[in-house]
Amino acid sequence: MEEKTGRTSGSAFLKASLIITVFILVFCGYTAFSCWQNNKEILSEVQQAKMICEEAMEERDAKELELKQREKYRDELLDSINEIEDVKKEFFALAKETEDRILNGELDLKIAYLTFDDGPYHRSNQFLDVLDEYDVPATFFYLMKCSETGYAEEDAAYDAIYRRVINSGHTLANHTATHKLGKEGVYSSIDRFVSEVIRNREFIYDRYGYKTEIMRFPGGSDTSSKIPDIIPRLNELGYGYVDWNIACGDGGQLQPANVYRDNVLNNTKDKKVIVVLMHDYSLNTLEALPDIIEGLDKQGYIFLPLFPASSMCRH
Amino acid sequence: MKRFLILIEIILITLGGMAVAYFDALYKDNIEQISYQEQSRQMAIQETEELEKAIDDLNSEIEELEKKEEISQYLLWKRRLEELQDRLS
Repeated sequence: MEEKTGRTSGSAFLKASLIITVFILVFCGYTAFSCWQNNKEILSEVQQAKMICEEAMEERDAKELELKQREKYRDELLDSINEIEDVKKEFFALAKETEDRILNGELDLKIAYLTFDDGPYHRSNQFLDVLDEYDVPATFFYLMKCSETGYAEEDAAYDAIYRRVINSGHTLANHTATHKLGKEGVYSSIDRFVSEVIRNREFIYDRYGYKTEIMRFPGGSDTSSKIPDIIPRLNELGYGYVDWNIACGDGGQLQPANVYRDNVLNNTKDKKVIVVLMHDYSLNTLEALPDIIEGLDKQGYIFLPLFPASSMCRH
Repeated sequence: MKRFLILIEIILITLGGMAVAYFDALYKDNIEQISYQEQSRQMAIQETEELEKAIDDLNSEIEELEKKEEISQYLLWKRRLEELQDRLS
């Protein structure tokens, strides 16, 4: 009886053990399987995250490389500009020295500053062609002629003229934005005049990166009683102003080319430094220009573009 | 026999526990990896944005400089300088 009871309890233990073992096996297997499954999913997420991260890093590296390349290019540009600025400084310093020595009677030379007012005009390119042909630098007192000021149709053509004037090494100077005279014109108030100058200065700088440092009063510096009060304001802006001591006469009634030529060539007497006023719109002026250049050359004049330190540029 | 069975069960429980612990650690490690990658990605994106801004600023600067370079041809001014020097000598 005892032996039977012992066998029964042994078999029950065996069964219980088997059940527990199977249960443990199933539980562990299931848990391990689900963990493995989870890891499999998470592993693919890790791979995806890695890929996205690598893409972002590659993009960053590419930008870093681009930045380095642009910095190098900027440095090259700066070097090149500094080199050019040095030559220009040297040129204008020598021009100043030349002018001073001429005025002191130390040099048997004369200087002619050819100036063209109120442009750009459609005919400006022809004037520039003549100046190129004779290799003569000049000064252009230009207005703000673009779509904003009612020159929409001419904008592209005038844009090219501004560029050509600057790129050819002429001096581009400020002649106010509109040149309007009369009651509502540029001289209607000091502030109005200054704003006209600033407007034109910003237009030229923003479009062409060129800083104008010289201006001319529309009509000249004796046109308005407000001018003495305007001058200090212009000085604050860094401007000097230039009048003229010879006018070819093309600003008034139309005259033949020989009149313009003679107006210039016959009025140079005793003048060591001349500033010639012309306009780059008249066909007759264009016709007279080669004679004016050749005539002045024969009289011993050298041609220079106006610069702020010139004695003709007043402050 | 009983002891043998108990031993087997203990071994199985231990192995099962180890497997679960292993997979759990792996899981946590992967989660950390994802979070790390995400952080790195965010940093890379932020750096890229900063670089893009720096490139934009630099490009504006270059644009200004190019305008200046265009209008200040070296050879033209060098020639003018030499010509003026010749006139004076």
